[in-house]
Amino acid sequence: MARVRLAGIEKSFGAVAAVAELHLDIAEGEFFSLLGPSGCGKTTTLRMLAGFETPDRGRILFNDEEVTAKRPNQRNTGMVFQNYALFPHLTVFENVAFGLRARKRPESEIAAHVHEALQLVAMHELAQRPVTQLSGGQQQRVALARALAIKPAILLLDEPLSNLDAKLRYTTRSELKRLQRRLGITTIYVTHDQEEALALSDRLAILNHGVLQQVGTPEQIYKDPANLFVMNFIGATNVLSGRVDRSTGGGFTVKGASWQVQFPGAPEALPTADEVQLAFRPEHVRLGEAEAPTGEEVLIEGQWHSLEYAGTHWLAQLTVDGGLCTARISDEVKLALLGPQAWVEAGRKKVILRIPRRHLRFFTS
Amino acid sequence: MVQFKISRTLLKRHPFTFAAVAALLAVLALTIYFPLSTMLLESLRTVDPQTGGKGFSFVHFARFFSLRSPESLQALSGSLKISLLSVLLSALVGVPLAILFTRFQFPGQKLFAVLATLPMLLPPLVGVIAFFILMDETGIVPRALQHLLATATPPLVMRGVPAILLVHTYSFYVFFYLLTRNALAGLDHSLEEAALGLGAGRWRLWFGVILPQLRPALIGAAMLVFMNSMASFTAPYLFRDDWRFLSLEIYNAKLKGDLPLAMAQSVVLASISIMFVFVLRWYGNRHALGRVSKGVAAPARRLTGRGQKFALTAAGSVITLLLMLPQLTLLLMAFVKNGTWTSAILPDTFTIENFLELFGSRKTAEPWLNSLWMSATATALGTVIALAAVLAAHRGKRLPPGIAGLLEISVMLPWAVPGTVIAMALIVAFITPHWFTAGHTLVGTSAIMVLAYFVRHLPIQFRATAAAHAQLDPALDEAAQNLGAGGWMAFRRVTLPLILPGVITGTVTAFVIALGEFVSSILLFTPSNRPLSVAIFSELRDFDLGSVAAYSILLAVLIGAALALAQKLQGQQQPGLTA
Repeated sequence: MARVRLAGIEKSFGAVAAVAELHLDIAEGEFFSLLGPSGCGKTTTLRMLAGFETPDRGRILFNDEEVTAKRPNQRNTGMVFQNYALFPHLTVFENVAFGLRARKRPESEIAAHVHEALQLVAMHELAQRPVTQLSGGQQQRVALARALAIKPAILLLDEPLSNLDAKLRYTTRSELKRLQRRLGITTIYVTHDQEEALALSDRLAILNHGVLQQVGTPEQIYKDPANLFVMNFIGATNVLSGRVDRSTGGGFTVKGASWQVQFPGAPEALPTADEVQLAFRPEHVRLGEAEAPTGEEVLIEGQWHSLEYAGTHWLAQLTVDGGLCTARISDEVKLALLGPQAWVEAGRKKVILRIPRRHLRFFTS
Repeated sequence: MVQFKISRTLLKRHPFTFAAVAALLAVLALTIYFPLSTMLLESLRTVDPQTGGKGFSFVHFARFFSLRSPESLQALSGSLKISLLSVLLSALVGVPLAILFTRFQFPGQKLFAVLATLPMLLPPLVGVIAFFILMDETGIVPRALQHLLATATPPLVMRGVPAILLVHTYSFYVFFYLLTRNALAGLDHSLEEAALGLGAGRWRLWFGVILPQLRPALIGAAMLVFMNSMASFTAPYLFRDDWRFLSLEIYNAKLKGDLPLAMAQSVVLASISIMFVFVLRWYGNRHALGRVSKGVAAPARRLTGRGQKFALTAAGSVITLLLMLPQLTLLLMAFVKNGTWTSAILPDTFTIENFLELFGSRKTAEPWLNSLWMSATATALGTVIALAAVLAAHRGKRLPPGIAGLLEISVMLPWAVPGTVIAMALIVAFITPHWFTAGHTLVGTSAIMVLAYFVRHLPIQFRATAAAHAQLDPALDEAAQNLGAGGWMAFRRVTLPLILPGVITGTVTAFVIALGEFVSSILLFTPSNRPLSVAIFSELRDFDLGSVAAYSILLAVLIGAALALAQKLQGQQQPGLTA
């Protein structure tokens, strides 16, 4: 078990900055995810933690001990590779025993440790199988057992679920979480799947183009995204562009081509730029006919564009300022607005989007 | 400065890699660059006959291109002409065969498709000898025809240029055959269906759609045949003609003691070959036809007409029989007592004496032993160097920029240089003692033979090793390190076991080819280390055809066994788990 500190690490490949001055502190026993689109630097960061890449600048510390220059085989991290990287010429047992043999443990201890690790992932009955005869899910579990068998200080997981089919991914995900809780091992998890990151992590870091965007708990990040990138990347988002008008005394107004929103007083999020992006999530939009505004909500006028059935709800596509916004509405609301029909004619019918002020976010781009 | 910094970190963090790369570069410099540059230097060196003063000039090249003694120029044009004709004939045989055996389905087609690669089983020298026994004045075919037609002189005697062309076509059409076959197998059948759907006829389908897609394969094969024909030594040597050939001219110049001219000729021949390799690479990189669509190759057309089926099976049988004629001849000849078969069409007595004799006396066993130990030493060295080069190139990003590419080019360079030229380069480089040969002159020793075998076959070993290594998932090595294995343990327990089939394939292939190596051997051997190929050749001179055939058959069997082993290992190779 170990704490991990990344102190301003940087890495470039040629002219491309893969990771730019990254500072992170990961607590002992924490399940920490690095999340971002491909090419965001998350895998490079993981590889620097494992020692496969050396940072150009900055330091990496495990429990206050600097490991920046240590070779991969001296770091005691356990890594599960995206394609598992099981040794195809060895059996399940020998794959899991590999790390213990590298540590020159006595044979009796190796047998006990391997058995224990395989039992953790319920693979002990297949110990003598060649790994080439395992299914994808079984291979994944052997890879995990192999990483755990050496009792690593840190568990590094590089998109370990991405090669499994959807159902298996879901069950493996919860198994992984349970196992991590039970062992209390510091775990760093790289993924591009936001749902996975939200479900598994104690905390997560969002990266884009090698730059850290935000660190926080899943809830913090979903509810209070630091910027438009984070808001767009995590969950669905509607974005409207507008201009800030400060001429109204005391407060300010944000104006789009066909809408305007007034803010009495100066909220802490008062944008300094003139061009701003107004963002809100589809589940926060209420639809209705023209009604008088309440102080709690802002009203934006749009037109129906299309309608999609999603089982538990409907997704309404609405045209605002020539762009599209999405609202997530219930069966009842849909019935009240459009009747029993399952479609809507584009551009014909007006609709009012009502968004609670506390769910509105401003970003300057 | 940057390079220096990287080398320093390399030295500090990976002393093992650093030492390996440095040693590797030193070995390659001494065995490949040193001889070739010495050759270049010697081709430019002049000694003033009066003063004895040394200088540099293009005087030997002037002799090469002189119109007053045009032997060299004639040789150059002879080599070029024979090479172009070889390309043409090989294409005419190889491409139709490939189409016939891949696009049509008829009884025996699968077997024919395999048998068509048979010429690969014959070492160049053995192939040439088989044709000699078949087609020469006293050969089986002319003699049989003479009996049948009762002519005064044997008809259809092949010598000189026609014989050389026949041997070249036989040996080299395989390039066209294999490359065309692979290209045909890689074609997307839906393209043809699309063309037919758009109303293309059969003619337009072939010339408008299929052949353009085969172009990279055809050009690649043409270049390979051209290079091999330029380098060809054995056929011109045995079927001497009034045409001159560059490879032979080098040999003659060396025999006459005119080393400077031999050097100039070698430089010209090597330059042409190297240029071709670069053009080939450039073309390959530029014209690698991207596949727009993923699709499956056209299924072989099942012929339904009885007549068609019969015609194709008959044609296939005849062609295959013709292709096997050299092997069959050797097989027959191997069981004939030396000198007993002179006038009859077929021999009347058979014996296994020839095979017993192969190992019966010191005189006949010695060439085997010489070739075995020299080939084994050369290939063992090659295995180590090829492995080191592959691993070093793999660690490319840790090396100073350009080193990985330099390593690869250096290792593959001998592939582009004809065997005659390599032998000549080694001769001039090691005719004088050096500090790194511990003050010995290598010319006239077995060491130079070993060196020649090593240099000539290193590319084969490197390719096989590199191909196996390229299939290896780099994450496996990282996984081993992550689990605590040092570089050596990761190599020994993970990398080596996984690439071993490829390494063995390369080693075995190089070994059997070295066993039959003739082109360099004939220039480098001494009576004390006479190798197998030279022994076979002198038996041929003595017209002990039975012994020649027995030697050849044994060699061909060895090569066949080695290739079969290689094929089996290729099949076993685990390409890693596909997750």
